[in-house]
Amino acid sequence: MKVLLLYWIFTQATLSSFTGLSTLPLIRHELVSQRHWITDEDLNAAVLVGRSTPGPMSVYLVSIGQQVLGWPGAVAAWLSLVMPAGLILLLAGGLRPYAQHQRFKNAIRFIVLASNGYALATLVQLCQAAFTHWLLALLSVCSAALLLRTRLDTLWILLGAGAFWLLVSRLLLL
Amino acid sequence: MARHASFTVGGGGVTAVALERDLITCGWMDAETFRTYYGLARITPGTVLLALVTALGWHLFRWRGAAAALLIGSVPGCALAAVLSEVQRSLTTHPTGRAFFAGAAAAVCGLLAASIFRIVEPYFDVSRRIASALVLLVCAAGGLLELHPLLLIFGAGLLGALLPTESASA
Repeated sequence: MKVLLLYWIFTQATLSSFTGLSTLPLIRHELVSQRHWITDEDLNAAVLVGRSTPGPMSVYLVSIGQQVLGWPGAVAAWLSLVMPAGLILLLAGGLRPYAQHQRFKNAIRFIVLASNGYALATLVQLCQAAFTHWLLALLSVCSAALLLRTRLDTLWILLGAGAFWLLVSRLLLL
Repeated sequence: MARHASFTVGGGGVTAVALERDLITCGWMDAETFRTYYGLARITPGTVLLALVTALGWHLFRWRGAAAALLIGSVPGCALAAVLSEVQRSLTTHPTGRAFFAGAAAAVCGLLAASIFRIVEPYFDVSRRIASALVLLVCAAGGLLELHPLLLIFGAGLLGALLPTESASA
């Protein structure tokens, strides 16, 4: 039954999101805060996997499913990712005129803003778990700046940050 | 599609740009059609990239194309994520692995902050910034107070749909 519950949580998250990582607030709320199936460190590790993997960033859900229940959890996450994709065929068909309506667009806009507002709060909690040294906070700021200011691939930023901290922790004997 | 699903790292936006370039170069579709589907994918619940490839597959080969595109678009990334997750878990048992992932985890926080900034920035144009800022701040506060996210997210959506158009974009 746990796999069905996990699938339901993932599906709620994907059906209520319209951008890359806006599933994050619901996932953290359900799996970290309420059920304690994973920790903030696990969630951060899953996002790291999602950002290092080709395709959409939301594949981090597969990593979470894997952490919680192994391969059945990973399959549950995959199903929850692919299932809503078929809804676009409804939009492309009969619902297309409604999708162009200003009220519909406003609703989507507010949903995107709300989910990202909530994601900011989630980010604060992830930072609290990840920043065990002030240099890690600085590394985080540098990573954000690199993503916003350069065309460097996220994979290189992640590998560089990992290698940098490995070196620093050896030099400072952390 | 299989090439981008398997090798293009950087999220759905990057992959969509690569797909657009290839499909238009091949002459399978014009830019306007691609952008119509991309626009629809952005307002489809769930993962934008998966909705986009499903629509592109349907446009080219109907149901068989949609099903094949969805599988090709999701399976390589998901399988790799599951394998990487296992690898990561085994590496973090070693001190060197732990140190590496501590640095990468800090970078993830920075990348998340940058992603949120990129997503919300277009909503802060002059005519809409007050409503946008209010929704963003109220939901951030709600998140810190651990309110249920669906309550806030769909509450905000309902508000957007119910407000008069002028007020919603004020």
